[in-house]
Amino acid sequence: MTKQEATSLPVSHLLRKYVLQHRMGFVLLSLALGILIWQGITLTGWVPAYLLPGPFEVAARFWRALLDGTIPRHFFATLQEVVPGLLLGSVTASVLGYLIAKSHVLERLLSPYLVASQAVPVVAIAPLLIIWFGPGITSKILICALVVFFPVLVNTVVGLRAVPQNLRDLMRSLRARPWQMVWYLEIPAAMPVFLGGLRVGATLSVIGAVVGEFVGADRGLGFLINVARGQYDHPLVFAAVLTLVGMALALYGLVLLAERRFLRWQIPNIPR
Amino acid sequence: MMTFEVASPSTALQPYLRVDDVGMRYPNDNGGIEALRGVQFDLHPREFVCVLGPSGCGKSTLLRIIAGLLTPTHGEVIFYAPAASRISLVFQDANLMPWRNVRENIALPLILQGMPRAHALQKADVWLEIVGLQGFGDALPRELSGGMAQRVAIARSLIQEPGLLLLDEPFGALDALTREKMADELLRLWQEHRTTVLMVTHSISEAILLSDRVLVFSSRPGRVVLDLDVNLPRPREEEMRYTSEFGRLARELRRAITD
Ligand SMILES: Nc1ncnc2c1ncn2[C@@H]1O[C@H](COP(=O)(O)OP(=O)(O)O)[C@@H](O)[C@H]1O
Ligand SMILES: [Mg+2]
Repeated sequence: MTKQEATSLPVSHLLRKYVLQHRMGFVLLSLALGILIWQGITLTGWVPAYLLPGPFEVAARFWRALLDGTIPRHFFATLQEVVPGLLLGSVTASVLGYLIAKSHVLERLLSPYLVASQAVPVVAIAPLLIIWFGPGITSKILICALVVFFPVLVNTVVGLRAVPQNLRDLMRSLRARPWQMVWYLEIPAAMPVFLGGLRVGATLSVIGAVVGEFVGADRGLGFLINVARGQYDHPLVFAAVLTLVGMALALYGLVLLAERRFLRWQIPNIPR
Repeated sequence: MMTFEVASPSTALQPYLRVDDVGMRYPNDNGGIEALRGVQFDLHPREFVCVLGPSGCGKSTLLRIIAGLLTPTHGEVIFYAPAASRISLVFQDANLMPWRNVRENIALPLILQGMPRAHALQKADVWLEIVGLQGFGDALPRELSGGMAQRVAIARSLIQEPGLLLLDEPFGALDALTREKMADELLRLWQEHRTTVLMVTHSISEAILLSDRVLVFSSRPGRVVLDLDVNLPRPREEEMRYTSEFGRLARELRRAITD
């Protein structure tokens, strides 16, 4: 009897428990597998080495560019566009999202433009913004803000719409003031959906910056990719792309940390 | 004779509030849903009154009107109590904030009133014990059973020391045993804190065991069809269910409900 019960524990459950307990280990494992496959492909010679440099060649190039200051310089140039862009985009989006969620008139007035703005690809507006605001940092910040704006706006509106009516009634019966309604009810209740939007926005903002730098810039990782490509320095292209991925992951990770902090009440207990 | 009558305007007869010819019509596409019509009754200070009536007859609507969450489309609710006294509504489901732990949920009304957080949480701890949830202060609402959550809701309500406590089928989600225990606790709290209580319930025997007066509502549009005094002595025991007086009251209430 007992033995049967013990063996009938679902394997998927055990696997999940194992993965949860060794989360970092699994990240490393997945990285190692990816690099192994990458190295395998370059070793077979299917793809010429000048088109797809191997992981060690890229690592060596990355290390050199790191030491001579190329990567750090362009990394911080891009970061200086991404962070303010992300902040600007998400702050305006959440304020406007709040107003839209509160006012049906405003929603009707604005939603055609908001939807239309989504139909226009950033790549198409980026050149315009660069003509209007110059090739400097301002145009890139605006491009970042633009791509971040929509997902955060939509999630703010959806999050606020999902605030339970009976909790609103509770707050009203407790005679909560308008600011208390926002602080004690609407912000925490909308937070899960809002952070979901911010998570998407965080990765999009990196893409926005790169698009801007492709179109016209004299610094940043997007610019570096352009230059390296022109010089057939493909290992450097890869090194720059991986740096971008790292930046996006780091921002994503920051939002995840915020979720850990603010949404602890939602995270189910890890099965023991 | 006359002077004597006039000279003793008993303050005890001054009602706590008067529901005066209240009607409520919810708007919809064809003329609206009339939930209440001509509802008239007084509630006296420190009275425990239960409301019975078929479902959908406007009981929740009435409580929401008295709590000030809804404005009636006809008539008004007049308060004779000092304006400072608070009204507190316990909803049918516990209605806790899932992101606040039990202690923080109970303290919420005080925090909203501007009491310093630490002080409010201390008071919440006192109430945790009163409703028998000591040790659960740090638990999140999702970790509670239905009965525990409802107790938290009641503690959150009573921590305000309300002058008027409105309860909308507060024990609806509970099993029979928990229900009895909670009703006992509510009675004890009512006797200690001497608030006025208006409680909606589905249970005739619960109404008789708890209240000074029972109001029976007709089906929609709801109005008072019976206003019955319950003169059983307190404290009331479960055994009273088997007395003839209890039976008489129960029969009268049942007849009024099914009519
Ligand atoms: N917000 C609302 N809008 C429209 N109709 C409502 C609303 N709330 C309640 N009603 C209607 O009013 C009637 C009374 O509802 P309610 O007060 O909840 O009854 P009870 O609590 O006695 O079951 C019901 O027929 C219900 O459909
Ligand atoms: Mg109801």
